[in-house]
Amino acid sequence: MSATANQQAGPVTADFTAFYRAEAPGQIRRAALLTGSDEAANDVVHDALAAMYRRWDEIAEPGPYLNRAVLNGCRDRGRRSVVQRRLVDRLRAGRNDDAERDVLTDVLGHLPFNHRAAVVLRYYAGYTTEEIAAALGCAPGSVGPWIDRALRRLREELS
Amino acid sequence: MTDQTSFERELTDRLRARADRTRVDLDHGRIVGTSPRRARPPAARPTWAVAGAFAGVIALVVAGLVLLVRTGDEDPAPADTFPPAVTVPATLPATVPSSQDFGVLDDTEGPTVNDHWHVAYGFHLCGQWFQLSGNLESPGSSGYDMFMETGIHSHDDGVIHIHPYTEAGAGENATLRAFLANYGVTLEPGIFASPPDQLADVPCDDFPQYVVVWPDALNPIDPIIVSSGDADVPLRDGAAITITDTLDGVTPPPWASALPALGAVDMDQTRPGDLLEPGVPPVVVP
Repeated sequence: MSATANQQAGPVTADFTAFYRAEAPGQIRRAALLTGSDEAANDVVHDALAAMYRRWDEIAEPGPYLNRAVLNGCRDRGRRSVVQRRLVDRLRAGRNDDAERDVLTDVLGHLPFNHRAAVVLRYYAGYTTEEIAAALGCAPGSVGPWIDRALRRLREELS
Repeated sequence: MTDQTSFERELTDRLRARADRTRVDLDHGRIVGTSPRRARPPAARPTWAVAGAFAGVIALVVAGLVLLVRTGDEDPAPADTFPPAVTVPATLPATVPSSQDFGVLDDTEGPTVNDHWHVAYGFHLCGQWFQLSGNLESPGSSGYDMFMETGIHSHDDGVIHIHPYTEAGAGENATLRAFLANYGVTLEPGIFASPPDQLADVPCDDFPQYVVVWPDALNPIDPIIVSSGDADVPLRDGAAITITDTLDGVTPPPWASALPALGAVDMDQTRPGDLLEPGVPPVVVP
């Protein structure tokens, strides 16, 4: 962040700050499960929040908006080269991964994005089927099969 | 959630344990942003309506002053010293014709949130073709937040992609104006404004006078011509749109004939030039 950017910034409203503090940690942790990278998760969530900040007073439902934006951001990240992402991650200092993280991250990373997102939203975030469908912009009937297939795969890989 | 198997419970625990190890960086440093889009400074490109109004006011003021001087002066100034500013408004572009009749485009309904439509588009200015730049589906891109509302965007491919997420981009709200607005471009009666990073390579200051729509990009006949002030032209699947400074020899964008392939790709890896053979002349509408 440059000094110039700071100087150009408008005042961050108190309600945006409260929203940011309340939502960002959970969104980042969830995004990390979806992207497999803490750094990518921080990037995705902050990109989404920065975009929201620019038109904060026009967004009627910030929570669902942020959910959608972060999921789109994670999906977009997934389209990029997995190899490139891992190489960049390895070059970053301060990594404290352990074997447990690698196994879970790798298995999740091999699931199709919608399957992965459905599992994370259900078993980490505790969303209902309808909430998952709304967040992913799909029909509720799609969610169950995605979770079933993901669970089969996860059982095989993790057990 | 009440009938979870032991594996599902274990999975929840492992996900939580993994998530708890995530380094949360609330000082990531990018929630500074810029001013809200609607508060952007005026565009770098000419705004003829403002220029015309300003010149008109100047002309009236100068003419009034001259009249006062002449009225109170026993020895009026000779005619050849009359201020040249009075003639300035005559040099501005004439008012372009206006129409709200969109012909056959009005015969069909706009897209719904379940549709995924494509329209070829291009700016033809100073004898060259231009497109707006930026893949709005990419988070962080300028206009991404507006794309999130309307679902109307492009991928640097000369195609308007319309898959509305909400009513804001569906039905009669799916217009050329909505698409342009997502890129910060304003096209209203007498006003053409674009951010400095859009259409930056246009080598002249030509004003886009007309929006020309061919309802069928693959059979470009019977174009609908409206003034550029009518950017509310409805977007219809399979159409081609040229935003142009002149009607002389106006054609659909050269890549319009590849619209099915460009639309099918629907990603940012294909550009119009990839699908056209060099040297193929565009179709000229009589």
